[in-house]
Amino acid sequence: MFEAAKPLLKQLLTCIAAIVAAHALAFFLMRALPSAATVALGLQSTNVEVVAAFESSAPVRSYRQTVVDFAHLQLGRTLDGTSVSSELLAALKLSLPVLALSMLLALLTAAIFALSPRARAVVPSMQFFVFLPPFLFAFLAGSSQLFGNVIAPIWLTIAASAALACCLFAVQAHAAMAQELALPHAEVMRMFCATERDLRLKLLPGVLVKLAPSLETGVSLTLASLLFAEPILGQAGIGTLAARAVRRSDVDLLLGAVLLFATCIAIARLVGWGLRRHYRLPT
Amino acid sequence: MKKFLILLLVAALAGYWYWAQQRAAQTPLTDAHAPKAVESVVHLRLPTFALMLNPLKMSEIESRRVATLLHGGLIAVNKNGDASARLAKSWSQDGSNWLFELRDDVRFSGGAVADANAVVSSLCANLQPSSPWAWALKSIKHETSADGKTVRCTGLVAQSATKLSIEQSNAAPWLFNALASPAGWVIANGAVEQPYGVLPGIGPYEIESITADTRVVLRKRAGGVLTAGVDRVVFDYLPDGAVAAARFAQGKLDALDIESPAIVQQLYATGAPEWRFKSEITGRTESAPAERVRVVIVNEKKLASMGFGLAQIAGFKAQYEAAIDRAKIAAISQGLAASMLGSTLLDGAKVRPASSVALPSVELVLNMEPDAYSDLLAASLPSVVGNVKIRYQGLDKGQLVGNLIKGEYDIMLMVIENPVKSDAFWTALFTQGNPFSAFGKGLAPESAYDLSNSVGIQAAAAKIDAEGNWIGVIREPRIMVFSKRLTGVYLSPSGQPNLEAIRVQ
Repeated sequence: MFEAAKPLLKQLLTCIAAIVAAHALAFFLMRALPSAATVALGLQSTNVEVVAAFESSAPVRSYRQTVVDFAHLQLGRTLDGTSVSSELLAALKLSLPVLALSMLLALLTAAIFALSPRARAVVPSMQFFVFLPPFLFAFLAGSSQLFGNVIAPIWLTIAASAALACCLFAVQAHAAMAQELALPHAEVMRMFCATERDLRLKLLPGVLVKLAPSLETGVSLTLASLLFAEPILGQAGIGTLAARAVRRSDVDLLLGAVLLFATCIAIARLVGWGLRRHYRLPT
Repeated sequence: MKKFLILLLVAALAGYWYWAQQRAAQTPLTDAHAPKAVESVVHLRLPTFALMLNPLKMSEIESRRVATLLHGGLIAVNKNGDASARLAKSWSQDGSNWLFELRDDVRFSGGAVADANAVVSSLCANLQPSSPWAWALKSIKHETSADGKTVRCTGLVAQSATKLSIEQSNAAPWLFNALASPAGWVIANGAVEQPYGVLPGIGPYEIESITADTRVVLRKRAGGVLTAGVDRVVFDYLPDGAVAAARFAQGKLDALDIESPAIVQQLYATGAPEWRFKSEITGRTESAPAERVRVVIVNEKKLASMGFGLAQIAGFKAQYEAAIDRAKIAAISQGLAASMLGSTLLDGAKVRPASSVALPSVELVLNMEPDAYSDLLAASLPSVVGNVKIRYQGLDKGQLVGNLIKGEYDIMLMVIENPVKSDAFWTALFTQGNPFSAFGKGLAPESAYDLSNSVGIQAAAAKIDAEGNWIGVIREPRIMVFSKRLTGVYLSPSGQPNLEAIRVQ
């Protein structure tokens, strides 16, 4: 029993370690940002008394205290005096459907690229797009003339968030389909399938399963894009919340956002690992 | 395969249904959604979501705009300096003493009566060294404790529930401006601060709901210093100027600051001075005289550490100033800006004398805010001055201010809101330790000039011209557009819009 659960435990421990490391890294990187008092008070932060009054109303916890509170499931309070966990929950409710639809869009793109032989022409461009920074599509969507006039900002948010994952999955699905088509069993199936399209349709589930190792990367790319797309396009959610936390140097809120992002990626990693195990793909 | 597709479809539909529910809860109230009874709703823009509605901690203009509907003081003052009654129904002066007679029918949003004791405690809280407004009220007589951490407000006396006297130790011409600003807003005694700094105020509205990163809804209430002109005021969080402009064009927003050339192009067929809207857009444009300036601040200490001598620093400032193509910058601003000559903020200032001193071969970084307009302006500023190469880099506002205060910059393009007619600003600049002096380099003390009149300000400006570290770039009037139905917005003496009296036709 223990032997069977060992790989799962190993994966879980790796995920927990990654989450804790991300949390610690974020805490210490926050030191590089201007203090919350400087951001909130502006030039008034030259006044020592004013800063002292501000800091006494919003004390910054030590890392040790933050970890102890986290162990008690207390994520602290935002600079606005609201509960971090309730803010995260509200933002997650808004962003989770965006994330889900973005991943769905990425899967559909993968399916299209796997099914269509003509997609080969655009695959090199897609390979290039994967390496573009995650904010580029958000900026393009934001500056688009369509924005605010024809397409609702929320759909542009989904498109901008999904763009990189779409490119990644499309390239990989196209390559996986090419590999499948070259295998002997595809030759056998070709004899029973009426058309090339039918053959590709039959092979599609296997090709999509092969994307499982990239699920973590896909979710990471989507979350990174969401971080830019939501604030640029004026949509509430975890991206806008994280951007607000960074801009205001809101330590507790940012640490909460980092935990949320890291947990989402860890879940994607576990799901990807589970799929690989289930379909006996190399792990 | 079919099963997979059906599963996907079901998942998509379920997801969409859930999401639509969530989004519906987030959708701002509109007239169409409001109950059929005659309910008036005004939609305004909130460009940033960093609310701090407690006047004792408020320092940025967006929170202040929202708070003008929640709070009020003894009086209100418009940009022309005309005072009108709010909590005080009359006032009189006897030497350095002001006597205010208060109304007895004003209540805080929490229900408590707003009386003279509440005014005294509010003003005294703002006179404490820990208040960002202490400098604005400092002319009120007070005694500072030995450790300098508290003050006793000896000049504030509640003679009865409806009578209050304010004694000044030295007559400051901006006392009424300060009393009408957040420094003079009245807060209920012992009120506990709620999230977002919400405190009971005497304004005509109270908070109905705050949804993070989405909107702030205020509703009218009885018992305030003014009768509310509309039922609800909704501040929609719209960080992108283009989106906000599109909303205004669609009639979904009632007021908008024209803050960038992109918005001018979006809304107007003809820009300044006609300000003629595109045919499909209705509304009215209002502009106030130059209320905002953009100056380049030179960090002289940093330049000295990079090998500049005193003559070279002066030479750099003169050569940089002469190299600015102000006509080009004014042209690209689409009528939002006019050239600003000289290093000071007053009309008629002269450019520094030409200089041909050789400059060291170094590269400097010009820091500015990261918005598109600042980027456009920075790209139009000189990139080479003598042997000095200059590149520009956008920084978030918090980082920019932090660097300014710590002196960690080479040169900086900075926006200064409404300094020109603000005697308080000029005084602050020449007062050691005052926050605004971070802009400058510590000039002669205040006593050297009488900054309560234009002659003194001219003299101070001449000193900045001669010795200061500012290089003027442009002056920008405040231009706002309003829907045809919205009235009642007025500008305070510091150029900030006050919304307490808004109405819809």
